Amino acid sequence: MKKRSVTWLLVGAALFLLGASTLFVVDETQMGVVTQFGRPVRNVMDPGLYVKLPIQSVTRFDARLQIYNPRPSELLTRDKKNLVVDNYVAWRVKDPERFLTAVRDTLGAERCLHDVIWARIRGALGNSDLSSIVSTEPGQVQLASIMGEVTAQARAEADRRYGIEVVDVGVRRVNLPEQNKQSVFERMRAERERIARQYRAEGEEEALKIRAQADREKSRILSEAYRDAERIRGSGDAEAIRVYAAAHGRDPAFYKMTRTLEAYRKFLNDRTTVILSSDSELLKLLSAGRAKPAP
Amino acid sequence: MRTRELAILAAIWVASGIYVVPPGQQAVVRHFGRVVNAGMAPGMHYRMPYPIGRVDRVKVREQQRVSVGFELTDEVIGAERDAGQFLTGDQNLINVPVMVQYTVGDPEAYLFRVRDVPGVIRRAVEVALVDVIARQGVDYVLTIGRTEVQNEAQERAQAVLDAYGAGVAIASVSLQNVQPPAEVKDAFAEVASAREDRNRIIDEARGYSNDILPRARGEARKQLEDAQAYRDRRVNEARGDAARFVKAYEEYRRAKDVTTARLYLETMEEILPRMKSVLVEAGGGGDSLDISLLQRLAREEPRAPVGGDAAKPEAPAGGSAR
Repeated sequence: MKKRSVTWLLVGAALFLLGASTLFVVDETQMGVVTQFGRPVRNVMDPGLYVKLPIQSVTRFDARLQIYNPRPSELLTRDKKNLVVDNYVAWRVKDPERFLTAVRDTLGAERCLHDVIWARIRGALGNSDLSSIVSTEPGQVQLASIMGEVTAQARAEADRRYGIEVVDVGVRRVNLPEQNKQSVFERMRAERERIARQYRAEGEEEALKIRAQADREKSRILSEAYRDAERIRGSGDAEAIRVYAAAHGRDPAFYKMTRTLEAYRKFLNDRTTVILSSDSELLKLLSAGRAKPAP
Repeated sequence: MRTRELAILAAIWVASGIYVVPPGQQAVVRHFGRVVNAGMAPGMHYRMPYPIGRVDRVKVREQQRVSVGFELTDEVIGAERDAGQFLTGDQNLINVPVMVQYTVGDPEAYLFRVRDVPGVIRRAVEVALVDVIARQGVDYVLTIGRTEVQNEAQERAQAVLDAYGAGVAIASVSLQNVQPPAEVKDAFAEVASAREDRNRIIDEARGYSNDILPRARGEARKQLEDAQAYRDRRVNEARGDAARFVKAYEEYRRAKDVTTARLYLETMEEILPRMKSVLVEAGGGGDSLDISLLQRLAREEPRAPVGGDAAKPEAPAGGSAR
């Protein structure tokens, strides 16, 4: 009994060792290359279970899209503007054999990518004016197409030399060098001050206009009202005169008499001294006696 | 015995292939590293146990976040000063912190095609932001351009992510607190307050206008009304006076002499008592009169005696006065 179980154990172990040295798995996220004594033999592109010779070994690489993000660097545009550009490279392993031979690993890949790409970026942006990178004029900014060019060129070279697929070269920041920022801030401040002054001046001008207009309008309203009021008063006076004249005109003599009598009532008072002659109509009866009635 | 134990172990091993996908998630099954099923729906399922089979679950409904230009509390980007600073089209600098929300659109791609998905999303959004902000002026981005910047950035970033095959869908790109750099914040605030001042000054002027014009109109109306009242009064007075005159005239016409005499005498009755009167004898000696006599009379009481009596104390009788 014991011998049988030991046998089974040995058989199992042998199978296990066999499997371990000839079977290997390449994961969905990986690409592999089978090497024999350090020399690449074949690529393993698709995931799954594979067989190899025991003397061969497998090197696996991350097949996923990776980001290489070097530190931001400074460059000069064609019109002599200093810029700090923060770029990244999106890449993946394309040909594991070539990759292993030329680059060996991710670190090596990054070094090679830097060589291939940064010089191209500096050249492409160094050949452009600042207005191709930032501008409020529609259509002037060409950054996307410039980087597209860089990507296309880099792609060809990286594939050929390193077995790397350069998917994209992107600029994630464009900024100014720290030492340049001060002067830019001053310019920004001055510009803001100018804008603030302009706003206030606009306000004053508009306010003045509105007030002057209001004053003018007020003057017009009042003067027209005065004119119309006088006109109305005048027509009142004229009508009154007309009415008086129409009435008094019926007998001017009677009017004069009654009006004079009224005037007497008004202006003859206790400070007036009147001299009456005894032969006045009023006093005639005093001296003449009783008036004879008319025959 | 050994066989039985082996059988039990084998059964356990087989049973370990059972797995559950919770609601709101999807699972991806791999056999020997190769994807065999990319879209396992929620529920209980079976796959080959480890080491042959593997299950990865992905929360497909849940929105996940990535920050651009600032740090969320639960992650560290590598703090650079002004990490969220961008160059605008008019060569100004502006700080634009951005929050990105996304969901997993394609679990297989999300799991296996891209390393560091949040980092890739962040860079895709940054590339988009650099491009969008580089075309606009700083005022636009600070104020009314917010929505457009967000929408355009989302569009471009999504295109980049699709080109990378990342398998994510951006739900939203939202600008957080967009600010000018700290060094020039005051100057920018000054512009905002200058704009306020301008509006305020103009409002005050309008207020002035809205105050004096209605009042002027009110004043004008009053003047017209006063004038009309004057006119009415004058006309009515005239009419009243005229009517009274005409009535008296009608009476007068019926008996002219009598009425004349009556009116005259009534008036004399009324006014003579008020005055100082001097009665002078008429005829002979001319019409001369002693002025000093009159002056004395004027100074004395109102009544004076009639005829020669008055002359007696002072002047010779007969009325001959010098």
